[in-house]
Amino acid sequence: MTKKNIEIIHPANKLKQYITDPRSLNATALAKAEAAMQKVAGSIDLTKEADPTLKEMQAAYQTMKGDPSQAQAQGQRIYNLAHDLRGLGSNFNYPLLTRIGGSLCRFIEGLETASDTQLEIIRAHIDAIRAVLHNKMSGEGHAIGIQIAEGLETLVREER
Amino acid sequence: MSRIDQLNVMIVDDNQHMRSLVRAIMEAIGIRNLIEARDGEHALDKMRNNEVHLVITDWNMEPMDGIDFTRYLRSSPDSPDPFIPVIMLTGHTERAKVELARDAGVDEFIAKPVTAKALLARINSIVNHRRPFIRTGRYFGPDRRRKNMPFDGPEKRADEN
Repeated sequence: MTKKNIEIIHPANKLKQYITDPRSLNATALAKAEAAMQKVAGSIDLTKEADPTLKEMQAAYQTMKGDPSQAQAQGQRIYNLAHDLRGLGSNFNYPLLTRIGGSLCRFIEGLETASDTQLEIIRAHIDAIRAVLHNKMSGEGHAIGIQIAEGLETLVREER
Repeated sequence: MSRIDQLNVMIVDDNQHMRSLVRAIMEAIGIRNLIEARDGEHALDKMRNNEVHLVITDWNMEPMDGIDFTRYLRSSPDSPDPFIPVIMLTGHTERAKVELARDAGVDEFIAKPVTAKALLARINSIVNHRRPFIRTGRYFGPDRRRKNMPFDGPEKRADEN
C-alpha cells in the first residue's frame, strides 16, 4: 500500500460541543476536582477494602502450589490482583503496596511454570502485602517495610 | 452557555473505588451524566442503550480488558461509535505497554496514580487539540504522531498494509 491509501479523517469533536466554557477546566475547576478526589480517597479504608483481594491472592497461590499445571492460570490471576493493589496503593496513599505489588507483577508476568524458588518468592510478596495492610503502613516512612520491598525487588531482579 | 451538564461520560473500571475517584473529579467540574461499567463487555452493553461522548477506561479487567474494549470501539462493525474519545488509566508504565495502548487506538493515556490535574489536562487536550483519525490497512484510530513535526524516520505507514 502506498501513502495515497492512507485515509485521514477529521471527526466532529463532540466533546468540544459540550465543553464550551474554558472555565470548566481552569485552575478553579481543578482545585474543586482535587478537593472532591481527596474527600473520596480519605473516606476509604484501604486495609479493609483490599482484604478480599488479598484473600483471593492467597487462595490462588495455594492452588498454584498444590497443582503445578495451574501455574500459568493462577499466576495470571495473581498478576491481575497485584496489579489492582498497585493501582489502589498509588491513589489511596499506600506507596509500599504499590511498590510490592509492582515487584510481584514484574516477577509473575509471563510465568509459565512455578519452581519451589519461584513459589517462595511469590509467597514472600503476598506475605509482605498482608503485613503492609494489617499494620496499616500508609504514607511514607516505614523503614522496615522499605527494607522488605528492597529485598523483594532484588530477588526479582536476580530470579527473572 | 456551557453544555457540560449534558455530556455523557462512561467510566470503566473493575474497582469500585477507582470509579468513585474518577466520578468525583467529573462531578466537580459539572458533569452530571456518568455511566459506570466494570469491564469492556459491560460498558458495550450500556453503550447500546446510552449515548456516550467520552470513555475513561482502566486496562486490566475481566472478561474484556481496556485494550480489547478500545479495539472493539475503533474497529468492530458493531461499534457504537468508532470515533469516541478514549482515555486510558492504568498502572502500566512500561514503554511497550504504552505503545500497545496507542496502537489499540486510545486518545490519551494516564499512568496511575490518577490525579485531577492529569485527567483534566487529557480532557483539555481532546477538546482543543484532538488528533485526526488515520485509517491504514492495519490501524484505525487517532494519529499516533502527536505533533505535526518533520519526520525523518522510516515511512512506517506506507508499509502497514
